Amino acid sequence: MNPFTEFQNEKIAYQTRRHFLKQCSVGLGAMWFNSVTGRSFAAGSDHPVPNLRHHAPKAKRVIYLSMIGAPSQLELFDYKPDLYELGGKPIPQSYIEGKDFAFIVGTPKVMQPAVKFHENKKTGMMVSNLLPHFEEVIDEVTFIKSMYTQEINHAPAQLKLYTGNQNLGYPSIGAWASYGLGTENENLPGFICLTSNGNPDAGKSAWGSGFLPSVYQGVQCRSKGDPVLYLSNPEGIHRSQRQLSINAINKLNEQMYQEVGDPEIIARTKQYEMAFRMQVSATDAFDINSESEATREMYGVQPGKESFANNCLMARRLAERGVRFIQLFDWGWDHHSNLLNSMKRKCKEIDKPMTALLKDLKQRGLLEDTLVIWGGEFGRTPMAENRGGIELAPEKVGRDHHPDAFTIWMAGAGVKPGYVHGETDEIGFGVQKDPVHVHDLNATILDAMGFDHRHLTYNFQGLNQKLTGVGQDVKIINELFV
Amino acid sequence: MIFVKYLRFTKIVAAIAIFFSLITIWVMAIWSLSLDNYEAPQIISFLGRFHPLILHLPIGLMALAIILDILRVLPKSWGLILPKSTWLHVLTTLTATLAVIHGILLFISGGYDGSALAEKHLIGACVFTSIIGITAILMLLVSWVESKNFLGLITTFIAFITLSIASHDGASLTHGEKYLSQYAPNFLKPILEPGYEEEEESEVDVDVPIEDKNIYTNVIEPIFERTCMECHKESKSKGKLRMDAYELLLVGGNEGPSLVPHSIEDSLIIQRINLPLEDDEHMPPEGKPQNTSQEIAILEWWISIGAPVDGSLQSHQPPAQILSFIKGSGDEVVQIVEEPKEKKQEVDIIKLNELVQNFNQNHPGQLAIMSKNSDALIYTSFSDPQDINDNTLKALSVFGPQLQDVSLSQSKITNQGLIDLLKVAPHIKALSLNNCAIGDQVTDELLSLKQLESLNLYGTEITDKSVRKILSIETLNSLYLANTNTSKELVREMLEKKIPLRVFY
Repeated sequence: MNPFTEFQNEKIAYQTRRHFLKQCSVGLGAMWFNSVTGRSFAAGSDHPVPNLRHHAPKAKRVIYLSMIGAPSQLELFDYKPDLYELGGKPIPQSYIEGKDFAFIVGTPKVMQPAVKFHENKKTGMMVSNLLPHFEEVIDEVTFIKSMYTQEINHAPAQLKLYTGNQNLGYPSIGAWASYGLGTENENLPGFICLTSNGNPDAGKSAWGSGFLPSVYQGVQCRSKGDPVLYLSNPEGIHRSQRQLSINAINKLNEQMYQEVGDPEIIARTKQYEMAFRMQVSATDAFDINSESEATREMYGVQPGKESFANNCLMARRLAERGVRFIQLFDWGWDHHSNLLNSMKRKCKEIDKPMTALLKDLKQRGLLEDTLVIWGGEFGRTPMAENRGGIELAPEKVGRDHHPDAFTIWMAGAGVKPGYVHGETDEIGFGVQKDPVHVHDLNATILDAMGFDHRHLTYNFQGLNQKLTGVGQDVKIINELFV
Repeated sequence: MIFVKYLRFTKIVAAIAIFFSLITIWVMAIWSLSLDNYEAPQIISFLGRFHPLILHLPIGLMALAIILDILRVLPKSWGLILPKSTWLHVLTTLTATLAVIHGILLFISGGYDGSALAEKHLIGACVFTSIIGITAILMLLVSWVESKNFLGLITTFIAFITLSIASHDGASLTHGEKYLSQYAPNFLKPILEPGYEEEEESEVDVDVPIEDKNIYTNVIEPIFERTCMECHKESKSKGKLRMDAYELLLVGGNEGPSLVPHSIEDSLIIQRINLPLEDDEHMPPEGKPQNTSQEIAILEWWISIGAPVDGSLQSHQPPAQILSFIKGSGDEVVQIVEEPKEKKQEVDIIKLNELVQNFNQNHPGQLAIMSKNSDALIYTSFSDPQDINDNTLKALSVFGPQLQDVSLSQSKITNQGLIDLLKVAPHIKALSLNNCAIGDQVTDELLSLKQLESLNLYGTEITDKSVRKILSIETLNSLYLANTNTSKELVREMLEKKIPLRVFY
């Protein structure tokens, strides 16, 4: 078949029934009907004015520090003195009756906290000695100690936390924010993500756009080498030449769009244009070498390497430039064994940069309208992990995945400083007071950004899809805010 | 008339038809009154809805009968030739029967259980139909009745009175008992309104503040009165729900209790109020007065504290925002339909958005509307700060009154440009001048911002001269002075005398 015939065939194939119906639905008939029924629009998908919040926001942007693998709350923030006594003893059957664990078998033994806790002078809260720098800013922060989820493995749990559903195919919270608000800086994407030490188990779906048009997906930037892959021009091609070819490509795409009306074509056009602008703006945004020595020292930046510290500094620079949703994924918290040493190492990696980020944002006046969130996708068990029935020695032992209780913190954007929400039981197994489901957390984040989570929707497969799923009992945790 | 040949026969048939009609309506009426907990099938509910349509037929015919009977009184010498009203009465009876039957179907399809008014209306309608029916039968079968004008006039008059009472009851069921009296001149009110009492022009307890009044009767009940009790009261209880007494809220109706103290999620009132307007189960129904978002907030707060019925408002410690809602909504004029107000707000947003987008054509990505609830605007310089200068500010000044959040960080504006903008933007709440070449010259203009809460002067040329003045801005919460030539000592000294202002270095 020669190319000409092939092209003809492809054109015909595009006129599928779906496209035909799609075009009809935007006909005059539909518009008349809509006006007659007099529906009042909710801002978001149907509102005559796009990109409008439902109410005034507390947070204009979000920086989400995602600790992939799930850090142990019992070694950081959730102080359970009873565990020291119960350490080494088998866990009472009432706790584990009927429950599934990722690797634990039979009746495991309780694992006492691997570190000592002390009272933080500023807030009176008991914290471990693993995050000394963070204690300087801990009075700015609100803790939620009663988070819970249903998933016991990384990929589904991450998907549930970041996209609202443990299955693949749903848009991430950054994509929803982008969809609802667009981008504040024309030259940078509205949702940028940075990874360090590895990728989330959920893969790129953790920042994907799901069924939303792909223009809303997170753009993964790198802290080593080129900030964005495939962004810079090939050898020998000058920027002005690039502009000409992009214009030509966009013209062709425009013609195709006139014929078939596929929104993905528009997404593609926008991405080309954005990429072109980013060639200049991203290079500037990610240039951490232009920061002062003092700043780089404060974060603990390692130039030329990929690190969480580099990412934090970049996050601050992106926030300064109006990027709405910045998500940092730090891999390596899944401490099934060797918990003490691993925690010491990881905490050293995040302690200084996390603190520096909060201090820096505060100094520049950005913290008051930026919401900073830190946490993992679930918690870790109060019991020691006995994979395959083998019990490890105290220096080598670790904890298994635990969905029933974990801790996160939030700072900035109207959050109540020094407040602790929720409580777990005596051994930190289950939530005793004020449980917060991951959907509740997402609803609260959306509320802080100015959205009613019930009304930020996208019609897909016959349902007005929401980030928080179809349940009616998702609540916004207003107590977290002043 | 046309049936002259078989007139006698037709008259007898008509009389029999009327007789059976009257039997039918009375049997159906008594049957419907004896029903208890009846679930009407859908077809009955559908047919019942035609009652308001069909009832216009007997009324129109009755009006004609009245006109004819009045005209008959006029002297014969005037030469009026008027037909006898026998067949008019027959038609009136038959159409009235049809209307009554549909009315009974409507009655049994729900919402009128225990409504004394509905029962009164039903009986009244049956009585009227019977009076006209019996008159019709007499006129058909007894020859001399037809010719007695005076007799006709009396029966018509009695039927008219009965019809007036019965149909007034019917109208009260649909439109509420205050429908006629609401806008009536004062001298008519005692006649039209049941239980009307002369009220003083000025309110008796205007001096007692709302905080000291009972929380249920003075805060919550008025909300239910305005938007719920039209259909959920003694004389009309849709879905078997009555909302005219606290205990009845707890009992609820067909769907269960409408009120569960402490639980917003389980209280059907809140569930239904918060559904989208287009949803079938949204309450109040579309087209009826809707609850404002303030009222919803008040109700949610009231339920969350346990839906108390005793105690003053103050004793339950309403949060400041709720208190402001309660005070604000006290004087609200009752609106029959709230939708036009919403639409007006939306139209403004659309127009505002057009202006904003026009601005953004030349200044991409800078101006945005804060949220759909207000016309407040956010201005940011993130997109191309190096291109933003005093000319941009000049173009922006047309939006001055709406500007609430202004961020000019890294831009190339000068002191004069900023001063000119601030002159027309008095409502700015947050201003960021991060790394701008701005100095002490602008300070006096900053003082004119009466709502300023956050001021970011990071990296500007502000000196200690200005700091003293800036600290006098009463509404200011946060002040950012890092990277400036200001001294911490000065700030510390000023703050010793002062307020909860947070200064960041």
